Amino acid sequence: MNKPDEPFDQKLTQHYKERKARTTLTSVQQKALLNTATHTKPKKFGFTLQLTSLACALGVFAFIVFDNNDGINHAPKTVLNSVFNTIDIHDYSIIKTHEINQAGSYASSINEQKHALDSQLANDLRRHQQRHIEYGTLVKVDNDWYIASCNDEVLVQIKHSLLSDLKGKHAVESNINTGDMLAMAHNGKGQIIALKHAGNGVKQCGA
Amino acid sequence: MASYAKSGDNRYLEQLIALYSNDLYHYLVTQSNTHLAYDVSQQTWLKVIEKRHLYQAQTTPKAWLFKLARNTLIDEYRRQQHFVELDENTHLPAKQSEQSDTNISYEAFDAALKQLSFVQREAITLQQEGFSLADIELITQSSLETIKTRLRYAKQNLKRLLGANNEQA
Repeated sequence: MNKPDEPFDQKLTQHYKERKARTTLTSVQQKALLNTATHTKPKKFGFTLQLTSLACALGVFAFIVFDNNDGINHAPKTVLNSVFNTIDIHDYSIIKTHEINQAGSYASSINEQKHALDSQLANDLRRHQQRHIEYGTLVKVDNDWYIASCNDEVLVQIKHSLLSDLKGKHAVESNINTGDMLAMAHNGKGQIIALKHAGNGVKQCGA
Repeated sequence: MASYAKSGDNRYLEQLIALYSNDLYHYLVTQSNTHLAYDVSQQTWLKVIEKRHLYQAQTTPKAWLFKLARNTLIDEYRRQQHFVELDENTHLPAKQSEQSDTNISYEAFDAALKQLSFVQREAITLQQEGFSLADIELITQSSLETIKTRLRYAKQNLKRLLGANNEQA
């Protein structure tokens, strides 16, 4: 590559050598460099750290995904399969929740799935409080019970706290299974006070 | 280098530092400044320690070292948001002076070198450092033709800047 016969290249090489001779590390810098380099352990933990971080990220991701699949209230599209194990909350306009709250008193709430249904909600609330017996199918059981009411598009969620309270009062019939048609007895305030099989007279909604 | 890559023995590392630290520092000063060059130089030697297992014996140790240094320098420039001039075909204007190529001062040469674009200055520096075109290909990760072009333009520009227009590249 070099062309030593060419005067300019020779000058270039000569100047380069001179420049290089003038641009060197001081002895202090060189010692510091040696000291730094020879007293440094290879950072193998960097790769390990990356792997650990990746594993943690995957763990968190998996937790979020599976956690959401388990919780009816968390996933926009929930749940399981089509034979009563599955509830898609988008099939319902309203979810009524009944529970005994931390203060020990009965609480019920209605979660709107569609904000445009305000007036409908008011009507449902009125009906909810007037009705004494409400029928519905038990569609899912985890800690809570989920009952698809015969009142169209209403899912009744009975929280574990109320279930325990009712069972303590022997107000829940035994041998209730997923898929059973249930009768929910309400008091005058619209509160559920008992759960039992609907009986032979009511096998399905509208019957 | 191969011995160090295999054993990790600090005695080999000390030999490498003694052999190449000044060459590396000079290259880095040419491509940046003394402060950054020393900083990058330190980072490069630390990378040698960390990445010694990646060294392949068919590569010359010096070329591998310079490649690490170059990448470290460019990373540092990016971190500082300092944009490196990568123009391949820069033609610099001729210097209006009576100076001939027979009496070019050190200062004039240094100033002319600094006026070249990053890649042209790098190509001429690596060539003067004794690297083959294949080595320069490895260090700069550029094609052979690109390197030849950079060298040609670098020399033309140096001649122009040093008032040696009568010379052919």
